[in-house]
Amino acid sequence: MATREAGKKMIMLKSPDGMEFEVEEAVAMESQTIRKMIEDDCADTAILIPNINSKILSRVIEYCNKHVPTTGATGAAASDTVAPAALAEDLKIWDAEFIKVNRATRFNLIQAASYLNIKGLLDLTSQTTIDTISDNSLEEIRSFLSTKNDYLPEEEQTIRRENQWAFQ
Amino acid sequence: MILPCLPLELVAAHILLRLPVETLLRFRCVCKAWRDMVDDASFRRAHLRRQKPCLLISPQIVKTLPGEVTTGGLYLWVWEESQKKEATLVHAMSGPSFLPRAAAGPWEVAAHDLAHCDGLVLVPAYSAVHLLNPATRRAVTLPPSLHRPHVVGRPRAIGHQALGLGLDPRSNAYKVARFSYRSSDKPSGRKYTMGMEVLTIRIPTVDHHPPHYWRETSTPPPYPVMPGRTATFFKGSLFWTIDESLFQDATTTVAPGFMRFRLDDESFGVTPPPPCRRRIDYQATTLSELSGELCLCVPQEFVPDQVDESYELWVCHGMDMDDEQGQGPRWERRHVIVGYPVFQGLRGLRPMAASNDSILLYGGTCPCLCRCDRRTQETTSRFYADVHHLRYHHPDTGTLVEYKKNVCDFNITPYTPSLVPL
Repeated sequence: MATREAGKKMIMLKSPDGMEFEVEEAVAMESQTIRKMIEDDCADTAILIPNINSKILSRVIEYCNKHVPTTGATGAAASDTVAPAALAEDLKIWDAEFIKVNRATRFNLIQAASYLNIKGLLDLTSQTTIDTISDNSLEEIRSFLSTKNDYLPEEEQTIRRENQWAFQ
Repeated sequence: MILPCLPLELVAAHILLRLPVETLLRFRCVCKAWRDMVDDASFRRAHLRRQKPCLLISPQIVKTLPGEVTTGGLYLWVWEESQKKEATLVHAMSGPSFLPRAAAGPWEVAAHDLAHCDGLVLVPAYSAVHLLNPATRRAVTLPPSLHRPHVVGRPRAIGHQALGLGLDPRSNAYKVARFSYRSSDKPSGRKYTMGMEVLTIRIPTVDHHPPHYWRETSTPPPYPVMPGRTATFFKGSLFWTIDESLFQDATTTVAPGFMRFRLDDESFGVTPPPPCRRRIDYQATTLSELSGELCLCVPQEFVPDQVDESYELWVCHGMDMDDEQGQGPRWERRHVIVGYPVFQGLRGLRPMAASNDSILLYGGTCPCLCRCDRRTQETTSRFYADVHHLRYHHPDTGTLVEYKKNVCDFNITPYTPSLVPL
């Protein structure tokens, strides 16, 4: 149930494994999907987030908590004293720590960020994955993304020859 | 144990779409599903929309032989990273690559502009017209025209043709159109015939390379256009600049606007010019597409009671294909740009590219790039970058070249890297 606590509107998020998370509405609205639900008035009771388990959902909430714009009573003090550039720098460092997770968690975070439509988290998780694979060999990429090579050896040779220069 | 993996649609939307063309061409080898994704037309369009607009620069270098100009090739310059004064070679060229000029000098216009559409670049070279995709390193040489060329008009008008490149929205095929003067009676050059040929770019498959051929439009073009001026592509149509000096009928002296050629039904029309206070000097104007809008940069000559010579940037509304029944084109004056000289009868500032906050313009008469601030309605241009000071990186040899001394002009075109097949 949406409740009020210290003047802030709260939202209840439920994961499919039965966990409930009470978060500030502003934090939940970092997700464009949830924002739309709230704006369309579909969120008077708790919102069930399908396909995202409690472990991933708690990480997503942790991200949103950190990235929610600091405005209003509590945020004002911080942004008065700290320059925006320094804040952005702090966030970058925090992001870099946040994304130090194993492969499965990172993939789950991409899925969650995609479903919940959280642009910042999606950029962070995707870009980290791209940085990991960009310079890898095809075999390393296949293994990283658990993708099976379904080419016959001669087929792969043909495809490779079409753009041989890109492999040099 | 279940291996961690990502569904293909997430890999495509959040990983592959963010990768540059070269990496994608390599990743086609990962598996068949990735190859099919990279080759998919809607993926290609989505990938194109994400790319940063850049510029392709071809410095025109004077050779010792008078009037002959050559170039090292096409260089990619990411102008938004403005601190970077280095352009990278993406397509090497040697020999007299563009059509020769009557006299080399900063006052002469380059014989033929480059044209760009969705990552494809049209290079009208001395010997033949080439179409390239520098990002995929594909190139095709177009067959020669079916007609013998004839140079018409003023001695300064060089060349006999004006090419254009665009996408036919109905067939989703890229088309090259070639306006040309076919016969003329020298020396007056006032009697001539003209025509338009169209070539549809056919996409090759692994085992089949369909031939390219020119075909004549069913009706000839209604107006003479300026030779060497590439048409501007905008929303399914090509727009050519009409050459008022070549009107055959002595009673007509003022161009009715720009000649429009629809790529879907291959019909001609006219788009009226903006309501400027003074008569438009078509030779000096440039029509461009900037961030999805059709723009015209018009010089305003110095008038004693006015502040200064300036350029006006007009934006055209109502140019959608289906808007024929509507109000038609409506022009809005968006910016006034001062700080770059106006020379009557010579080409002035040409809008090249736009970001959220600025517009980049190239001035050929004293080669430099100017940046115009978009947020203010009327603005002054600021000297932005002297293209003469660019250095040219050749990645294959790892060398940096400076052409400073012998460069007489720059052939510049907006460019967006793409996967469009060729």
